[in-house]
Amino acid sequence: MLGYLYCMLKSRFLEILPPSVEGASLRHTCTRQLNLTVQRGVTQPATLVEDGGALITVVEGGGCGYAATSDLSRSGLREAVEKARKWAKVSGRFPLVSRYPRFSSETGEYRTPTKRPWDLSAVGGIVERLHGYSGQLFGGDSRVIQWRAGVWLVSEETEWFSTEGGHWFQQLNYGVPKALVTVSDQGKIQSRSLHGTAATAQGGLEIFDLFDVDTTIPTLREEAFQLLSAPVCPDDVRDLLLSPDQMILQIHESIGHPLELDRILGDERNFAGDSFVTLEDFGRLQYGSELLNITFDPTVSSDMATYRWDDDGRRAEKVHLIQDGRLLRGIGGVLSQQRSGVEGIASERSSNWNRAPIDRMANINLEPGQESFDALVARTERGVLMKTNCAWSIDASRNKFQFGCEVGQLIEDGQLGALVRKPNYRGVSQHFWRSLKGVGDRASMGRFGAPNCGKGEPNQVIRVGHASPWCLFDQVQVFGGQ
Amino acid sequence: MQAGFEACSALLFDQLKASERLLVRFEGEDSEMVRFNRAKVRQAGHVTQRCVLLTLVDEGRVVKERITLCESPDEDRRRLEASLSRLRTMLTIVEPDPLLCLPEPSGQSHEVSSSEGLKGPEAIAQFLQDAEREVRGADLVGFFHNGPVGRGFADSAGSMHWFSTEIVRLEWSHVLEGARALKREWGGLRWDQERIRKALHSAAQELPLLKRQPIARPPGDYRVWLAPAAHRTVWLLLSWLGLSTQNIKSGASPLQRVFRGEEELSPLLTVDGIRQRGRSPRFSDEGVLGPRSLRLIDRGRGKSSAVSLRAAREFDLAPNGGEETGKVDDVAIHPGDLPDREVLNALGTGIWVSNIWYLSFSDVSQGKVTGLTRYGCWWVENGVPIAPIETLRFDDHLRNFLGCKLERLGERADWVPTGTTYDKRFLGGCAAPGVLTSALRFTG
Repeated sequence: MLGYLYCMLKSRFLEILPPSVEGASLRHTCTRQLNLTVQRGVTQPATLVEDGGALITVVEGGGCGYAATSDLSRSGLREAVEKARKWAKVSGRFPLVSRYPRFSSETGEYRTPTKRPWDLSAVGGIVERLHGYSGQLFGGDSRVIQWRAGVWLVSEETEWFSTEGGHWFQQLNYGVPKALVTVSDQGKIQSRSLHGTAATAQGGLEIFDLFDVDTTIPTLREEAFQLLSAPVCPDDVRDLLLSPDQMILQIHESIGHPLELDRILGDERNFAGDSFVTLEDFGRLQYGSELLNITFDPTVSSDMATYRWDDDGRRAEKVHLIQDGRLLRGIGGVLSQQRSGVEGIASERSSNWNRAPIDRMANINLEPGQESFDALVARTERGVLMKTNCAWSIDASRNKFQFGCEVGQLIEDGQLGALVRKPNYRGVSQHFWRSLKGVGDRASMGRFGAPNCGKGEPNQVIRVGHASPWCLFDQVQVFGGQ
Repeated sequence: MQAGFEACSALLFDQLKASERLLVRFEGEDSEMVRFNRAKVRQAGHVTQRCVLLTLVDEGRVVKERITLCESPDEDRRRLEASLSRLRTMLTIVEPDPLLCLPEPSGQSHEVSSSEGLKGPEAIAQFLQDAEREVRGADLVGFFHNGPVGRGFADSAGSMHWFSTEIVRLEWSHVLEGARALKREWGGLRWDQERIRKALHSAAQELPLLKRQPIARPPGDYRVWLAPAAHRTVWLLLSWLGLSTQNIKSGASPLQRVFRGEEELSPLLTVDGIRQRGRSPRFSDEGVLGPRSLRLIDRGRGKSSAVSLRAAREFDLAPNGGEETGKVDDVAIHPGDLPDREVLNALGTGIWVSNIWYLSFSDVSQGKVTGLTRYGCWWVENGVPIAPIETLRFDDHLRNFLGCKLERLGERADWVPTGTTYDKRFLGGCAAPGVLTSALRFTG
C-alpha cells in the first residue's frame, strides 16, 4: 500500500517545515479492512475499507499542535503544517506542558508474521465457512432468535518520520472472528458467544485456528439452552474462579485503565475519568496479592496489540508493571513520564491517522502461576466459576466495578456443579486484587484482547491485548442478573 | 465538501453499467479540536477528513466499500475507479442478497447551516479567561470542537441530498481534590458567550456545596432527581441499542418488552426520534427521507421502532428512516410540568443525581440498567442540599425508575448536541427533561 509513497512523503514534509519549527513528526497510516457477517442465515453486504491519511505534529514557540489530513500532496501537507503551527501557537499561549520531549530517532521495520494472508480472492471461502458456522448456531431450532457469525480483518501499514532522523515502517495484520447465538423459551432469553468480543489476534486467516473456532461454535447453542433452564446465579459471597475471557475485562478495567499516566495526571477527568492510583503509589503500593504479576508485553507476535514502536515513535519492550503484587510502572509514554516523573512504557497510541496519540494500553497481561485449572477447582470449597464477559461497568476512578458473564457454574467441595445463568459480580479494585489467591499455570492461559477500548477527547477506540490464566479470588460478592 | 461529493458521484455514475446501481454516502468534516487540563491546553489541532461509502448493486447482489478521499481530483479519481473495480470483483463472488431493499428515488435536498460568532482560538481564549474569572479554586478540564460537518447521499437512480452544519460544542468539568467535580456541557449553531458565562456562574455557585465533606449512603432505594444531563445519558444509551426493529426482534434491545407490549414505561414518557434542521440530516444513511419526527414511545408504550430498509424487508414492515446501524441519532423526550425552582421541594429527601456514568446492562432482556453517579450529586434533606455523596452504583429496571416509580418530569428539555467523536464528529443529540422518581435502587 505505502511503498512508493515513503520517500516522497518524507522529503515533501521535511522541505515544507520552516526553520522556526523546533521539531516535528509525520505519521502516515493506511488500512485495508474486510468485514463479513452471516446473520440469521443471510450473508450481510460485505464491507471493505480503504483508508489513509497522515497526522503531523509540530513543536514551536513552546507549544505543540497537530493536524490530520488525507491530502498528502505538497499543498495538502503545507496546509496541514500551517494548521498544526497555528495550534502550536495557541497551545504555547496556554501551555500545560513546559517542555516537550525530543522526537524519537528510532529506525527500522516490523511486520506481523502472517501464515495465511487474506485478499479478495479469499472472500468466497470465508463466506462459505461463516455459513457453516451459521448453520451450526441455528440448528433449525425455532427457539433460536438470533444467530450470527462473522470476521473482521485488518491490514494496517504505518510509516513514521521525524526531524530527529527517526523513520520506521510497521505492518500489522489482525482480525476478530465473531459468533453469537441467542435463544428464547418461555419468556426467557439467553445468549452465548465466541468469547464475547475478546477473540482478537494478529495474523491472517489462521486466527480461526488460533481460537479453535471450528470446535467451539458447535457447542454454543447447546450451552445457551442449558443456561436457559439453569437457575439464576445466587446472591451471596463466595470464591470466584474467572476464565481468561473474563479476566481480560477485569485486568483491562481495574488494572490497565487505572495505571494510565495521563489519567492520573488529570487529562481524562472530563470524560474517561481519573484513577484511585496516585503518582506517589508507584514503587510503593501493594496493588494485589504476591501472586499478581502484570506485564506490558509487545513480544508475542500474535497478541492483538504487539508492535515494535508506539505512535510517538518509541521502541516497545517487555517490562513488569506490577511484580509480586507491588506497583512499579505506569502505562504512559515519554511525555507522561516526563510530566509525572514516573517510569512508563512505549504506549502513546492513536486509533487512526485522524487522532493524536495519548496514553493507551497495549498488551497488558497477567503472568501465569503454578496451579492447573483442576487444582484451582479442587481447592475451592464454595465458589462459582464465571466465563465470557457480557457486561461491564466501573466508576470514574476505576474502583467500584460490576461485571456480568454469559456462563456461571457453581463449585462445591472442589467439584464443578450446576450451571447458573446471568452471573454477575461486584468489587472494589483496591481490595479485589489483594483477594487473588490462585493463579493458573501456563497451560491454562488464554490470549485474548479487545478491539474497542474507548477513551480520549476527541474519542478514540483502540485495540488491546490481554493474556491471562484462570484466576481464583477469595470471597467476592456475586449475584444474578434478575 | 459538497462540490467534491457531487463530483465523485457524477464521476462514478458515468461509469456504471446498465444493470448496476450505485449509492454514494459522504461524510466529511473540518474540525478544530482542543482539550484542556488545569485551564491550560493539553492537545490542540485540526482534522480534515473526507470519505465516501459506496454501495454497488447488480442483479440482486450488493457490496460496500468505504474509501478516504484527499480532495486532489486526479488521486481521488484513481481511488474511486480502483474501488469500483474492487466492488465489481466482489460482486462476482457474493450471492444475491434476499434482504436487499433499496430506497425509492427521493428527489433532491440541500440544507446548509453555518455557525456564527467566535471561531477556534478566539473562543478558547475567551472561555479560559471567563472561566478563570468566574470559577476559582477548582481545576478546569474540558474539550472543545467546532467546524463544518457535511453529509451527502446520492443514488444513481436519481436522488441527491446534501446536509452541512457547523455545530460548536464545549464541555468542561470543574474538579476539586479527590476528583469531586461539576460538569457542564453546551453546544449549538451559534457561539453564545452569555450562555457559557451563565453556566460558569452556576458552577461557581455550586462549588461551595461540592467542597463539603462527602456523605456515604448505604445501599437501598432512594427518591431521586435525575437531572437532565443524567436522563440524557440514559437515552443516549437506549438510542444506541433500544429503539430499532432489528435489536428488538433479535433480543438485543433493553426496551424489547415495552415494544412487545409486555410492559410499559411511565405514561408521562413520550419519546420522539427527530431530524431537526441544522442538527442532523433529514435523510438516513440508507438514503431514506424519514419524517422530521417519529413517535417511538407514546405515553409509556412502544409505538413505532426505527425501521431501516433492511429490517423492513426482513420483518415485513414499512421503512421509516431507521438507520442500518439501529441507532437513533436524535431523540427528544417530551417535558413535563415541574419547574426548576420546585425540584428540590418535590424531591424532599433523597439524592440529586446530576450525571451518571458507565451505563451497562445487568440484564438487557429485562431492561435492567446499572451505572454510577458522577460529578456533583447531592444528598438532599427536606428540599435542602446537604453535601455531595460518595460514588454510588445503581442497578434497577427501566420499568421501575422510568416506569411505575416515575412521579414527574421537569418542564424544560433543552437540546444538547452529542459529544461523540469516535473516528468522526457525530450528529444529533438529545433533549431530555429531568426525572423525579420515587425509588431508584442503589447497590453501594
